[in-house]
Amino acid sequence: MTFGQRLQKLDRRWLYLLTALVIGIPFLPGVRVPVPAPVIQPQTRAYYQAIEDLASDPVESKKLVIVAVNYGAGTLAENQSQCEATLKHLMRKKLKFALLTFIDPQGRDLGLRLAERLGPSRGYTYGQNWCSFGFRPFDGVNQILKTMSTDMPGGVVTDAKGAAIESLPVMAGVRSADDVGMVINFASTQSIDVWLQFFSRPDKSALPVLYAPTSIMAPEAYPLLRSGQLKGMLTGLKGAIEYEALLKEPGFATSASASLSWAHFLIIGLVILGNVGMYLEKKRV
Amino acid sequence: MFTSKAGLALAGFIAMAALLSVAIYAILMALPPKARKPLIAVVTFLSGAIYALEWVWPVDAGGKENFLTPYLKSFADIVTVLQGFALGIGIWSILTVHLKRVAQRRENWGFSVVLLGGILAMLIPYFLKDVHPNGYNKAIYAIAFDGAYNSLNATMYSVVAFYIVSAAYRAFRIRSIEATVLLGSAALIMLGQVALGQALTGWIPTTGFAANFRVENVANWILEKINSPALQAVELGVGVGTLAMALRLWLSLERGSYFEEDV
Repeated sequence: MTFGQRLQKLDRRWLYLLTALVIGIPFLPGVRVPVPAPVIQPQTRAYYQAIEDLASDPVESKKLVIVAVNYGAGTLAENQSQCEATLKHLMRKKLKFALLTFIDPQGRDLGLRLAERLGPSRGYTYGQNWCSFGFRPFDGVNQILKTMSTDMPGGVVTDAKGAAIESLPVMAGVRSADDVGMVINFASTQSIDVWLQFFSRPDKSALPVLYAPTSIMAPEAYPLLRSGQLKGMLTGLKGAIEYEALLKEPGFATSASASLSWAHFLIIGLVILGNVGMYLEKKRV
Repeated sequence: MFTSKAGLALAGFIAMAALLSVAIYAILMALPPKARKPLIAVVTFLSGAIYALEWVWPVDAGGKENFLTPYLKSFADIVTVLQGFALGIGIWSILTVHLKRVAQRRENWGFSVVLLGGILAMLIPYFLKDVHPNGYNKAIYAIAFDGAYNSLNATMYSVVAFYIVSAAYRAFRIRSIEATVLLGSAALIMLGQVALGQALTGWIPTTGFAANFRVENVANWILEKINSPALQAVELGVGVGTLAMALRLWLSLERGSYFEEDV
């Protein structure tokens, strides 16, 4: 086998080993792989600013923020990092929020546990400052969201713990989409359209909608960003890294920045290697 | 009729719904096969018509609803109930198939034992946690959900990273102009996504004309000016196609092996 052929046919087990090392080494205790600070992208800055603007508005800041936790454990690294940073931001700004899941049933418990972990140290109590609407099947969510947009208690009925939604202090005065200040959707699969279709306020100013998808889904959302239907977006783990930098509160995403960077470089390096091999082989033949 | 029920009233409604379901099923079975299809077509049309009408019917004066809007939540509940039936059938099917395999000691019956054990290992802690939410039951549930299920799910998804590396290495070859454009734009977007890549052009000023050549700005330009219009065009086509497909299903015009089978 010639050198060119060898470059093109590296044993995939070496590739797997390299990938594991590049991703794993930065997470080892005591190891610090240097990585530059990220450049904050406009969509991340807009995401951050939208929450800041909501909190600084005396009327809108009293309204409910709906946080849609539409991911499962498969995308924890991306979506949970985004969600954790966002909840920290909402709690820092003393905004009240409600969690809702309608894609992956796992999201119900993931969101609930995350808020329960972050809440106590930030003065957030279930029922008082936040609540969870629980899980609703996706096939029926169009009708549920449409009902919620005009009749919130009628659409939600009970929370994740079985209590009547109207009995929770955090839901006091929340009757319809008019009483919602913002929607934030964390997603591992396509789920943003339903908010834009069924939760808009055509007769009033548009409800701010923020989106935090996985990196692979982000390109699909650019038309919505361009049209202004989305006020901001966090692009996967990279978006979470930038957002944590804006919050000045490093978390998991920041610690994963080196792995993410070097894994991208590994892929680019291997693609170059394969092409050099092909070029050498063509030249030889 | 569409308000929440509890206690005896709830039990009564469930019993009546079950009886009604049996009666409808019996009537359907008693009908000749030729009459079943038109009946299904009528039910399909009426179900779709409710949503279509609700969407286009003018709202009441000063209000946000029309006469159909209050029923939407109830229709959503019907969908949820139907999904409940589908889930029940799924559980029944998986249990019967794998219990039979274990009982008859068929090939790979050990995997079926693991599957059935997995179902019970998640099901029992979940119910225990809800029925008796003491520390012990919560801890068992945490082990099952966080320790096992979440970790396994995350692991399965993480494996994709290894395949992506291997596939990118084998597939991305500069064999044509199209492949070169694809490779070039992919590399630029990848570099623009990560801090190390952004650092490559970190020496270029962040303002002025030169800023356009910073890798993150090039990546954003590709995503906004090339990817975005292309996606909008694709989505428009998909939207028109979906509308046509929905109309065919709604009006029972769809043809094909599944739709032409006897029911």
